[in-house]
Amino acid sequence: MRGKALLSVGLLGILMMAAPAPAQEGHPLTGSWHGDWGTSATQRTPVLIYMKWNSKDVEGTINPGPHAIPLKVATLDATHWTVHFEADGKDASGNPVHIVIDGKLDDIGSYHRTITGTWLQGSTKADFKITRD
Amino acid sequence: MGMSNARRSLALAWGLWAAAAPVCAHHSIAAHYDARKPVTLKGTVSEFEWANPHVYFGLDVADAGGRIAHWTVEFASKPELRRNGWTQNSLRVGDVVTVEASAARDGAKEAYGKSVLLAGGKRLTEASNARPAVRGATRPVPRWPDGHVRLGAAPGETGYWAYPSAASLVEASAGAIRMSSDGLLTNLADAGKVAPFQPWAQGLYEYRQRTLLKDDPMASCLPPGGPRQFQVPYGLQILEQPERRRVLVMSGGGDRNWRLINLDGRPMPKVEDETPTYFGFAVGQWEGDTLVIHSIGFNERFWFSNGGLPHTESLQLTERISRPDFNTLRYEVTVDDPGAYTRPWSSGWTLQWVPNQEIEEYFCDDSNIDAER
Repeated sequence: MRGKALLSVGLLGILMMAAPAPAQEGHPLTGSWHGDWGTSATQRTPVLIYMKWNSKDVEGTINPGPHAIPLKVATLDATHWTVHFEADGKDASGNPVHIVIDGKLDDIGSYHRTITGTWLQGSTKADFKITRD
Repeated sequence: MGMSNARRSLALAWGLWAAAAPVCAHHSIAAHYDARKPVTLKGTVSEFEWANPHVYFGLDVADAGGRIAHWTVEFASKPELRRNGWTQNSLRVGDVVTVEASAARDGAKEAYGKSVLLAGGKRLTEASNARPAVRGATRPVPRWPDGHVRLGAAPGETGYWAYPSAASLVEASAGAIRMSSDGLLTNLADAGKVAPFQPWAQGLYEYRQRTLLKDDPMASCLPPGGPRQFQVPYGLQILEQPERRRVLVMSGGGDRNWRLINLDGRPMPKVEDETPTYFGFAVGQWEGDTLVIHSIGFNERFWFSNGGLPHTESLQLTERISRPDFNTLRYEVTVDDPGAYTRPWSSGWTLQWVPNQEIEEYFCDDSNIDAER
């Protein structure tokens, strides 16, 4: 019985994978972006940024959920495909920290486009890469 | 030890998925082939696939030293080629032919055909979207018993609409902007004239143009929603069902896609209450001899026009469809998408009646050449 259940779940999973990922073709920043930031290859912090275009501005949140940090500034320069984000969060000790993110959007036509650049958290300068889900 | 039934089933399902996945890799012709790299190939046909979305054949070409190189030559779709006299019997394995074509950008032995000279001297040419001349005397516009214009075939007749007079949506006030039949601008500097873009939308439109429409969702077999349904080269059929107070617009290109327009007086729902779809939610009513349609609820997973014009889920369309004479369908659209454009804007074109024919079955992934690569 358990084997049949596992089989059903497995088949369902495979069939779901068979369906092509539906592309999001609207504003290039809209959607969920997963990735990480950090100061070295081994010092990485996972991050999720959710963004949505409201016809005038990009609204966004870093790590939606109990510890969400709203983006105060989120801009896209579609001439050079660069982005600039700012937010106010808290560090590991609970102290306020200002976050400034500058990046470059690549592979714009892809569903899984990416943003890479610099992540300044307080005085800590790091790099980051996020990929659209 | 043999596989269990469960493992065997899982392996089968995985195999089916793996086999199906590359079929979705239909492509943009402009992105794959370079029209500035003409090539002439004389050789022997080794295979001929009369298929959608692209007809193709294998060609064994001998060089001066007698070495054989195998080329793949691709042409347009069956409906497009049929207009130029092609049939499923146009080529046979063993025929010796000379092909004029454009070579692949990546240097592969692949080419997009412009013409095929058969051994007997007959020349078959690539698809042409040029309108054929209308034959015979002009007939009165057919009408329903209640008096309004029939947008489809008259009883006992067949036919469909094709040959759009415009390749892409262009704001009516922009004047003539040169572009290819799939909406590629001749001069990228014209991009800003096409529509009143928001900056991000113009940037994205220019990116799509610069990359030769390589990311076109329709090239991945997704439906041509919105005005694009009236632009595709395979035509469309308008099926009116007065007893059900609705109209179906059926695409010739795509996997048997249709769009539903409700004429039963139902109210337009709120945008936020609609699940966005490729064809949206549409209500229409007759204003004299013009069918006026209001649509909302489009998703962002398709290009709503040839050429890669962006849109958002805020897109609302007002379309006006009329039949000024028997052979002409007039399509006009006002685009209202504050997410992508700075103001509402309008465009329009005509389509021509193709008498005595039905739109043919077209499945985008059927024998796709890319699946063979």
